[in-house]
Amino acid sequence: MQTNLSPSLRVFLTLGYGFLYLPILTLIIFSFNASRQVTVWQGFSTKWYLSLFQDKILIKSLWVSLQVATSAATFAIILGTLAAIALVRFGRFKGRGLLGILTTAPMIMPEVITGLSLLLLFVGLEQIIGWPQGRGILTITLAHTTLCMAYVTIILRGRLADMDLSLEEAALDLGARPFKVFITIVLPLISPALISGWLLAFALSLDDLVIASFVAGPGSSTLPMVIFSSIRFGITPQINALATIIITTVAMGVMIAGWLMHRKK
Amino acid sequence: MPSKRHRIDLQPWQDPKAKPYIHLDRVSKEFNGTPAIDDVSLSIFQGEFFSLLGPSGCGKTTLLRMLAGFEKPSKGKIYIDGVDMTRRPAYDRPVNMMFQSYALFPHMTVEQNIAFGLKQERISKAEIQDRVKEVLKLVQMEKYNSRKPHQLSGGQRQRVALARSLVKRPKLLLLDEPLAALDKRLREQTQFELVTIQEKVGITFIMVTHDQEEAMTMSTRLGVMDHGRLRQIGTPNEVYEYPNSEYVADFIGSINKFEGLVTEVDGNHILVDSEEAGSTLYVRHSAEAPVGSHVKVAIRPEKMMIDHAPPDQKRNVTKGIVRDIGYLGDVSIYHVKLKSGKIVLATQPNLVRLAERPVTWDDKVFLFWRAENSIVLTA
Repeated sequence: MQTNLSPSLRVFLTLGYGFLYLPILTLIIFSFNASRQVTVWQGFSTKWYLSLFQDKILIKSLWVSLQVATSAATFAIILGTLAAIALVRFGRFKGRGLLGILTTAPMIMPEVITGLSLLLLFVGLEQIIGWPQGRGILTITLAHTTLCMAYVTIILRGRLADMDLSLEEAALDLGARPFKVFITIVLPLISPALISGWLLAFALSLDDLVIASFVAGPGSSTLPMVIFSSIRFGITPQINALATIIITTVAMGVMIAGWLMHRKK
Repeated sequence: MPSKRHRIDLQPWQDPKAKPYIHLDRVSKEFNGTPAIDDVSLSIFQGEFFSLLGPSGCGKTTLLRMLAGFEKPSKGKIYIDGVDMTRRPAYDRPVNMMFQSYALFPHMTVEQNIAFGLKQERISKAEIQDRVKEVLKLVQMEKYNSRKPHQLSGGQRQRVALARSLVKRPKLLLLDEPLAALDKRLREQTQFELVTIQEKVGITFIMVTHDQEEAMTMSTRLGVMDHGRLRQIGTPNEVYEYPNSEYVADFIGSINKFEGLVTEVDGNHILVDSEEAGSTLYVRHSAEAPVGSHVKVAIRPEKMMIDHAPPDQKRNVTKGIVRDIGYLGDVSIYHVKLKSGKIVLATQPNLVRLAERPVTWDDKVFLFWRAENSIVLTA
């Protein structure tokens, strides 16, 4: 830490960090609050953590969210990588511009519209071909894949465009077939982008309320949906406890990832 | 004495019965309708060090990439060792390339980089190890086998790139501006090393460069390219001393040119009356240059002699005033202004120290040269 910061800079720094992290800190502190009321401190307690694990609806929705986020992020990485490769490496094929716009469209489009149009699509498909049957985890996953793929494509497009094309040519020149070049050269070199793309997609899916609300079915409420609906009956400190667990897990994940990346260099 | 005669004992390109090792047969390449390579035919023989020389955008790199298999010709055929390679993909050609950026795989060590090509073939682990070791020794990089590319200097990376492209023992090695990324001193040293290595391994090299000095010192033969066409192919000596066109004469080294009118044809010599030179020029010339035709006579600056006293020759003499002297240490370049206003360059070795130099600024001097040292440019 630098010690020669000017006093005014210190003030701004404190304000800035305070603005960013004070709400989270408050949330963590109040998750240990003994009171049922969220805003009144009545002593330290871990009872909300215990009751959290007994709240079947909340735990089930967390499970749904994790399932959806994991599969949506994985599908988005696969499709996004393919789209990025097509856009960056296949030259000026017919329809390239359209593909570029379409893959990034869900990012720009209001979520309400994405959600509604996907709902209409799923209902229409069910009527015509009988798939997907009803709405549930599958439809949420498909919807989230669409959304996340846009972000993944952008990240990977940037990484691929930065990559020296002669690396791939050198591998071809040395006798590796195109698929092997992809596995041995391209994949290792874009792996940081793949990891960060996957994490971003995971976070986006875990966070989404609007799209999920449109395409979810009975028994497939995601965590944000449950939290949001419970607000109407007043927030219980259980939610704080759950948020604290999620924040701690994410922070540890980021720290471990950072440490791994640092050690690799 | 041709500079590289000792390297290839025979000069296969002069033997009409010799079979070319690499053969380009009327190759053309268009990019979206614009020709990048325009009807190029070229034969290169086994063991040659051939350079493609030209300004950027002349098509030399495109030609190299077609040999490597990264571009397909629009027209024409490419043969390597008698086999038609025109449609073969890059990974299936007995050709390796050393890239200008070196293109070392950043996530692999030196050893892994070099072994990559061998691993694509059915070669035992022990043999791969032996061959990697052998080629690392050849480029004097044994100590660095477990380093990553970012831990190496530019010169070391260049060696690893060379080793990686040599280890598969290709029939043809392509080098794309192999020395462009090195500083001048290292470049000069590496030029000779590269030639030594090429002689040792006996692989045919084709190099692309825009640096004429590099092409001259390293190649057995070179081809000068311009706008997708090969303008002249020959040994460095032939191309320098007998350029077949003004373009080639200008591109390789500097040259003085005088316009003039042919007044007399005398056997294999012609007489040219040149107002620009202010004298009658007597030049050896075998091609068609009838009396009354306009030609350009060209003389290299180092073939120009300069003196205060008039020489005892009547032809190929002109006079002027020294306007400028470029001192390069070993030689000086005199800029002499003729009566016609033309500036002529004459290079002289600095046989004496600068202060004792006989010819200096604003001196009136005679410039003269021998008839066999000038040439006629018709194209």
